[in-house]
Amino acid sequence: MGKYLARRILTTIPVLVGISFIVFALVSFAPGDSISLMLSNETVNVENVEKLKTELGLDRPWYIQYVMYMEKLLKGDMGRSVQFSRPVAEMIGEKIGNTFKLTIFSCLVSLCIAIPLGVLAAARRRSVFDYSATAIALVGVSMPSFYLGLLLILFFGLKLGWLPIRGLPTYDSTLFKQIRFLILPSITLGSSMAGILTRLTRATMIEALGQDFARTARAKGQSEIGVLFKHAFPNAFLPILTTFGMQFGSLLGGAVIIETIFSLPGLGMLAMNAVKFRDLPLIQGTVLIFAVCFVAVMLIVDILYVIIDPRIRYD
Amino acid sequence: MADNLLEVKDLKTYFRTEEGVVKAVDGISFSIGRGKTLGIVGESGCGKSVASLSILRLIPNPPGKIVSGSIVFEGSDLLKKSEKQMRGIRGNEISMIFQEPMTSLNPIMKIGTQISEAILLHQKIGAADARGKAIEMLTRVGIPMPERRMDSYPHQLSGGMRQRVMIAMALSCNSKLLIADEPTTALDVTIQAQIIDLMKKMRSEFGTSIILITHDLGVVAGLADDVVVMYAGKIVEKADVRNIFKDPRHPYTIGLLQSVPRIDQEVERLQAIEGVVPNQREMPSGCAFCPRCVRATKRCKTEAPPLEYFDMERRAVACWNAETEKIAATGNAKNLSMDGEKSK
Repeated sequence: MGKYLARRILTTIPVLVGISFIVFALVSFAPGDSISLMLSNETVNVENVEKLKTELGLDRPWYIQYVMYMEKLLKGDMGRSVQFSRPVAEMIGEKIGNTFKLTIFSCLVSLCIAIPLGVLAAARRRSVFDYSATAIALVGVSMPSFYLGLLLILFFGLKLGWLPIRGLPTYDSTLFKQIRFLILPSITLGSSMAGILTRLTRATMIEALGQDFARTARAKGQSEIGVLFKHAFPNAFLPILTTFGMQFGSLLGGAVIIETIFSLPGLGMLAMNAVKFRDLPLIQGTVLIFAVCFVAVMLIVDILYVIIDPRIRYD
Repeated sequence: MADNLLEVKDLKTYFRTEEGVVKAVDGISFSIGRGKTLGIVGESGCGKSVASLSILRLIPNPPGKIVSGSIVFEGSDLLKKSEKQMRGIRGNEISMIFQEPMTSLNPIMKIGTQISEAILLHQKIGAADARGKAIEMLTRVGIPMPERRMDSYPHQLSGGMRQRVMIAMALSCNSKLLIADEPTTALDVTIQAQIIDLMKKMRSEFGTSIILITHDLGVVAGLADDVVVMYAGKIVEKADVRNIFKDPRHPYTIGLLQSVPRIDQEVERLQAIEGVVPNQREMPSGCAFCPRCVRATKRCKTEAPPLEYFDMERRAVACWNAETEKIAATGNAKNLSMDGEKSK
């Protein structure tokens, strides 16, 4: 297991280098540059522009810039934001907590909806409950998150006034208050994942309940609840976990949109601003952090495989 | 009859499908005495597994349903018991082992946990005692290093070992009746012999009655006291094991025996029963075996023969031509594999 883990962690390095290279190249080749935007309100002085470009190393070929960037990155320096003149690492550090809270809470919301709904739909197959679960899942999967977000804001925020519709309270506010602010964005962000996982849980549970070992458990005298949760669910969980890992990527992508809709000061909003301003170091930094999060989740999924299913051994 | 542990009477289990009702088990009756072994024999799809699952009321409903009949176990009808009462019987008084031990065991649960689970469900003992009992059962079924094997997963054991684990699990609560559904079919021949020996040993040690469901007549010969031959959801012949092999009366039973190779006879070509089991939805109006029977008469095509008892009710056969069969069978008393050409 240790060997596998070391090997698996090492393989993530080329993935991350590849991502950083592609993002760097894409932003470099895109029209427009951050210097012009920075100086747009000032009297443009060609001398100043050239001076600033030299200072930032922007006068060199893009691949040299990339090597310089990577050199700094290895020392833990993610560069300075062109727009804010602040270290990127520091800015990411300030915002990552909010995105972390949003994604974790969204995962929890979708798992709390999907797993009980999927399990019960499988257990009460072809019942009203099953059809209702299918309908709910269909709505979750089909509705675009930005539209769902706006509907939720309109209904629960503006019409009923039950929940806050924008921003996040400060870190020192109570847990209850923080959760209240996270409810609407988390439902919006997690709804699609919840829909997909509900359908998947139902399908894998139906398959597991029809397996021979479930019949053996019943023949032993195990109750239907016992068969469901002790035997069928652990066997059905592996494909759910795989899809959960894959969907986590979409969740991170969705966070960019949801944070903008709900004005949540997170990494997504930071990335959006960075793109608007062509703030290359900030774009690089945020994308890299998103990539690290996704790669880390996939690594955790792989480790959980081994723990859940003893038939899988990587060594 | 009072000594019977289980009496099944006129059991009918039907399945509702899109094409119509499939009568998987259609009015079968049999009984099994204490400490005895009953073999249920027949081709695939004849309803023998459905019959065994019906006893434990494990037929998936829908689409299956036990339509009528009674299953009297130790004096009380299992079909009248609540689901909770049935859970108390399953794995405790009546246990079951299945054909494929690899898929019948939970692949991601340690075998020790799976055996202990059966014990903990029915006995008021702690987890540590259940583990001790599970180790004892593994020892009794001949698993080497049982303490270590407790922490193994099914994929880490061989096919024979897995079936031993299934038997250990089934007998861990001293069940009175063990239903073994094709317990040797998925195993190598040498392992089959070991499992049959083990079942014999368990039967004598625990006094367990066994219902042995198989299509392998060799297994029946080695283990069963009485035999029930099923065809298309019905019983076509019932007799003790000696009579089934020495004096079969139903053409289907004779056909089954002819299709088994015998070590004491040189036969160039084995006799096969022509045709296939008729589709449940296209069942002939008369005898279900009629389209495949070499002795079929006009009457067989129109009237289904009832199961008629004879020989002081120790034997039964459902064939209009049973008497003819008797003469034919007697003529070949020394040679069980009848000459197909002559019989035609």
